[in-house]
Amino acid sequence: MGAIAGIDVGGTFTDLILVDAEGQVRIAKVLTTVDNQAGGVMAAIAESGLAPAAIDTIVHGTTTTTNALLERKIAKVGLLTTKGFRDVLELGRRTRPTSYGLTGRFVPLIDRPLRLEVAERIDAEGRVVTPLDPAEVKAQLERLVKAGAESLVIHFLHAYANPAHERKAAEIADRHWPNEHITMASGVLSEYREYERGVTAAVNAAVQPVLRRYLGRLADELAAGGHRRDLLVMQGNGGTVSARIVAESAVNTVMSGPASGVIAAAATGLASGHPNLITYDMGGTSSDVGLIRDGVPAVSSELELEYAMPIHVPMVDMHSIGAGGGSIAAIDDGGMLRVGPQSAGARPGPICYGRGGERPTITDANLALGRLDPAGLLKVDNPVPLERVREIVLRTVGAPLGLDADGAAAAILRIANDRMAGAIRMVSLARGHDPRDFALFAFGGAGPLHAAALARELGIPTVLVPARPGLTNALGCLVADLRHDFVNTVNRPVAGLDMAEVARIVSGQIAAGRELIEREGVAIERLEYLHFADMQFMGQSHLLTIPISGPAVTREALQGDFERAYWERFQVELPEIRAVLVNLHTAAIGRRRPPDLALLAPDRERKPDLAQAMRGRRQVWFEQGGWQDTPIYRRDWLPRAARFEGPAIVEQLDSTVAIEPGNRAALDRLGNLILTVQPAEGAAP
Amino acid sequence: MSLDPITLTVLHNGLQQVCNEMDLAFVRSAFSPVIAETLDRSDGIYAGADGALVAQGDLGLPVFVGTMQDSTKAVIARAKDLAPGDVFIVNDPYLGGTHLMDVRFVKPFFHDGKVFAWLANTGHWPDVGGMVPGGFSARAVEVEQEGLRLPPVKLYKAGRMDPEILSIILSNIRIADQRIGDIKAQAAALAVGEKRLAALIARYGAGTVAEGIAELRRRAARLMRAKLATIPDGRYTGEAFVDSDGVVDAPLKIAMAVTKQQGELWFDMSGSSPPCRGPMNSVIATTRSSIYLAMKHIFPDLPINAGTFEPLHVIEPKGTFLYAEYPRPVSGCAAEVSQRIAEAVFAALTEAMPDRLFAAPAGTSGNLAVGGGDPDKGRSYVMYVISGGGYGGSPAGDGLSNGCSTIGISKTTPIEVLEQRYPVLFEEYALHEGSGGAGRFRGGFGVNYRIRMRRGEAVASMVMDHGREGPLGALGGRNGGVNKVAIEFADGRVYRPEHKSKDQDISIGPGDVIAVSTPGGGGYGDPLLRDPQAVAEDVRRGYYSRRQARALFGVAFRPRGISVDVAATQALRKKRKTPPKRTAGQQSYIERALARAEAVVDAMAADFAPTVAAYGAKIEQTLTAWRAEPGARAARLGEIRRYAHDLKGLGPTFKQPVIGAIGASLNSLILTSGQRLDERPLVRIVEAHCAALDRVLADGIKDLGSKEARALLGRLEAVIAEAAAAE
Repeated sequence: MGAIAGIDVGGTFTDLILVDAEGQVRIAKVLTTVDNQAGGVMAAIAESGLAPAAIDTIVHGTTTTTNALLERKIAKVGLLTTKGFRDVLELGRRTRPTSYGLTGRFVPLIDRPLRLEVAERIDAEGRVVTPLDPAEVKAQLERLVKAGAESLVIHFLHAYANPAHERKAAEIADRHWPNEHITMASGVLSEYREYERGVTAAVNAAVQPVLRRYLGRLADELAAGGHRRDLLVMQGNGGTVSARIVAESAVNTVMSGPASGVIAAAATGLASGHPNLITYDMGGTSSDVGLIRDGVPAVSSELELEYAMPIHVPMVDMHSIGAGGGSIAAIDDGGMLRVGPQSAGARPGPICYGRGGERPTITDANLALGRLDPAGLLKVDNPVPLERVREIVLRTVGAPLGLDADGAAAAILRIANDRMAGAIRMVSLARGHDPRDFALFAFGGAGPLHAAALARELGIPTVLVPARPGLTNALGCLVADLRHDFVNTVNRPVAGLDMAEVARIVSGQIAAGRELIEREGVAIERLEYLHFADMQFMGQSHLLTIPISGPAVTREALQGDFERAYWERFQVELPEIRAVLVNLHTAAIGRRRPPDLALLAPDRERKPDLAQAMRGRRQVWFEQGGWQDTPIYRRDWLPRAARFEGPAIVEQLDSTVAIEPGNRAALDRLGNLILTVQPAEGAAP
Repeated sequence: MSLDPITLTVLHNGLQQVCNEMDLAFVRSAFSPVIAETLDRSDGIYAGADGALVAQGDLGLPVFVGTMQDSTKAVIARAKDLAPGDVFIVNDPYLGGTHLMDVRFVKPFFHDGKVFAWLANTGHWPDVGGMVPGGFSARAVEVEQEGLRLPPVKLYKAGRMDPEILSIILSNIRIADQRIGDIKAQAAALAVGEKRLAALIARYGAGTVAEGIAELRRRAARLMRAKLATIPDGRYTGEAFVDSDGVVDAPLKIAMAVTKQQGELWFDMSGSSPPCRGPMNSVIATTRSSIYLAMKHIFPDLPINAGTFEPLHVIEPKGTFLYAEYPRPVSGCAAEVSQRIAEAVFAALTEAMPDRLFAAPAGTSGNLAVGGGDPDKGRSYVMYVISGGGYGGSPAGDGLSNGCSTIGISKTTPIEVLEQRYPVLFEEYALHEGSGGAGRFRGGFGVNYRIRMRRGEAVASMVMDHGREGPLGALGGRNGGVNKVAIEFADGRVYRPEHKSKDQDISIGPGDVIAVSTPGGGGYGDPLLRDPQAVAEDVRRGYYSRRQARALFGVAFRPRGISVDVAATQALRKKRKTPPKRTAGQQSYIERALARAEAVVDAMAADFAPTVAAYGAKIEQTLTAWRAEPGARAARLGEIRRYAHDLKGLGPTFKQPVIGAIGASLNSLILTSGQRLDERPLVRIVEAHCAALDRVLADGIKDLGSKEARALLGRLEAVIAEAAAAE
């Protein structure tokens, strides 16, 4: 097998993990080049020491499309839609950004003068009510081009039920639109709900030219470096796709960064005997939480990237919590301590960053309590004395609460962990799962620092800290398979289903998946399909997704599996009401050969015994017992057979692991650090 | 306090978490789209002894802030032989409710054999019987016509559902077959809450949790007082009008007087209209809750528990339509009157906190219900359509378009879903152009929608509002566009409801169209101060026509394209307004408009006295004309009212709130009883207002809370009361 590189572009760093032809792992971390991420990618390859020409497959996670959307540096999009409905994308579904407060701002992705209509109409059953006039389509396209539209969306009502009009309009656009940036909404998403489908399509059109330009530049640079083989791009569904076709569904690359972290977690968990995971990635301003069952990450089609920007293509189900290392602790007018949601961000950042931050953050509290190495303070440009950090914590939090500096910093951590644990519960365990069935997979710079405390709060017995917590997203690129999702709306009661039609739809999804993966021409080991049904009881709005066997699924299986899943989730039985099959969903997966994850934790540096793996000792504060003389281990020095108990701190280049008194720690075969945690008294379930 | 501050915060989060998990369970498993999709529900924990609110889920519908503590109190008063697993069902509006469709489940939570707390939730059921499908009868004159009224009864006894009570309920409501799903979902959510609260108590101990609840209540009150400290002492008034009650075609007035003293607020609505015949009466629980939610909109970051409301004193408005008693019909109270009460609070407090407030939002839930039979599918149906409208402009910027109701947080049902379920075809769903109230920060826009019936006979009913007067502008901003309803019959006839926004049982059939335009939000600040480039952008987007831009904002464009004609705009705006002397040296109008606008306002504030004097003179002249020409009295009175209305807006804009208050007083008097009054009292009242204006100018009275101002306004009230008594 040739060399494979996973390259993930994050907000600050571009990370690379490369497994070369000899099975050696190379790692690189370079600064992200914000304006053109290709610069950082090429620099990371250069730092790996291998020429682009020597790399067989490059799998790339890029935030180009996510950033373009969040910063609104997007293409000028034109919309062609059903007469009477051009404002659907501006009116949304009558909401406001927050439950309370009657102000806010919303800017539609497509400017009003660039939203044009044509007389056409199809009804909910897919019957033509008003036929499409090709001449009108052509005339409106010309108006859009003249008005400066660079990318086109065709979005007609009920096109999920009958896409004939959209297809016809797309054919006309193929002839008359000046470029290849054409998005047919029902092609991106064949589900009902006109606002969500329209926005999803508009997102696709808005980032398509941006992604094409970026990948064009990157491909040129790689080619100049002699790279002739596959370039794959990560998608939000946790799978990869060939750079050749990725832009057709550019929307699928949105939020691919967090998804690749979860994919890495799933692969690591499966290889180490922890198929059920809650993933926890704590960053500077927020934390991301995901759920993996039986090695399969939960996938959802209901992501909302920001207020009123739903993206309804299947994506790894990630939930962002507004608490990160930079979250600010403050006393409110009622005299209560609050941590977050305000964040010091990267600037001014925590006090200890020495960039002018004057308000205590979670990171400052960790430092004040010795959980982070105070020597690390010296590495910033304008070092801040630890005493200053403690003084501010005391003044702003301690004094109003009647606590000393230690007590105040401890209070900040306690409240922060409490909030984060609550948020994790809402997105994972509160959906009908038993925490005792899970392990907490902690990564990101700060995740492993809080994981043991969170696991204790949540009643999760095991924490898994992977070998390279700071490179998890790049690892996700390395291990991800090719993946394409196909969703079709059926929306019929199970009792009245035409099962032949169900089989036809699923078979069609399989055929489309096979065709697409063949078109990519990427080497895979085998092709697999996962099938799902989105179901509900008649009259409900929300959907429950259940796995199904494939085209041959029976009516009885649909009914029975749905009822079981519903009971598991809600503890409610409803024999009185009919079940409805809403969507059929197939994921076509081209399995790539997985690299051996044990390579990530090489034995080169390991010491023969635990005592020698200790870098030193320092006083560290823990909730159980306060300040304690605590051993500080270097992760890469830990012997394979190491077994020890907390309190302990394990430091590595990209992260710090806090092991609490009473935790037991060990390394597994892959070099993952496994903590066994006693639940807090009275903690969940 | 023996409880440490960390545990207190942890308990706060823990109680909130219990409620949030109830919310999650309820929303995800509910059937009624009104609950699942439009989130018309709420979950909370209430104190064991008195039912006071302990915590409420973050996903709860705003109008239920505080109402469930009243219904829980009503359950406590009637409950006997309680056992674990009991669940009460209640929807009686007069027992701490809203309208009949809001069905509450209330469950005692036991610890150590005693009731430690109550768990309760509310869900809006799509139907509870009554004279129209969906429950919003615009013409009901007694509550019995509105549906099945349930006093607190145990639907579950020790964990088992009582099939007999269930059968009574199901026999009295439409589309009963799906309600069993909602009933189970609603009860299951309380079971989730029970489990989580038990875990919290197991961990921290019942004593600590109880102590925490008490302390959190004190803290919330302290937080609210800290917010109220930013309001200067004084009496602030605001008004809002409901179009009509659906039965008698006359506006209903909400007269809101908010007094700030000793760090707390008193809300007095005693000057409001008497109880009405139609369903626009509000029960006191809803009236109170509307005030609470208005305050929460003004201070969104306040936590919600019983302590939050302690510094807010709602004087029970007995004898008005805001204190409905049996058997007054009330279906409009939660959806419409509540929002108008909130608007009256906003209007009153704008003066006190102009930088925190906003012009009025569309403020109607826009309920449309169509019930009929679909011959193709062989079944009957009730289709609910709710719609949003524009929000008001604010110092933070222009208002949102198509925002949800003030009291809700719900999404509309997608058109594609409605067309799948019901025999209708939407012909349009578009922005209601021109509906955003003009202002320095304009209001957001409402929606125009058209629904064509495809098959079968049906009846349409609607309860909407702001059909007579659009949502109020603030500080010189114009009102938002009004709500409009029309039925366009296939034979060419067009029917517009007599009460503009309310009607019921309109028979419609295939080919007929229901056309609705929803209100835009009010504008904030003088439209002539809006950045001309922002107006150009509005015109480019088709929000306003060129003509409207000229008329409303004083912006002129070059003949071709949409580019501002700077000189013509300057001239146009100058002509509209006495030119401010001190801005002579200023340059282009295109320059940073906001900074300049401030200067203009300040300069005009300094020169405001002549303007006021001129208004006073005009009012007196018009009064003379009124006496002279008995035939044209209505027109003259209208003119006087417009002058008064101008002063009402100009006063606060130019930092002369007392002038504004005098204008408001005269404006509202003429609006409500101007046509009724005899010559003598009317003349006396108008003259008293003119004299008051002179007095303010002569003595330089600026502070509304000052002794002089209060004396002056008090005298005006006395004159008005005297006139009313004489009448």
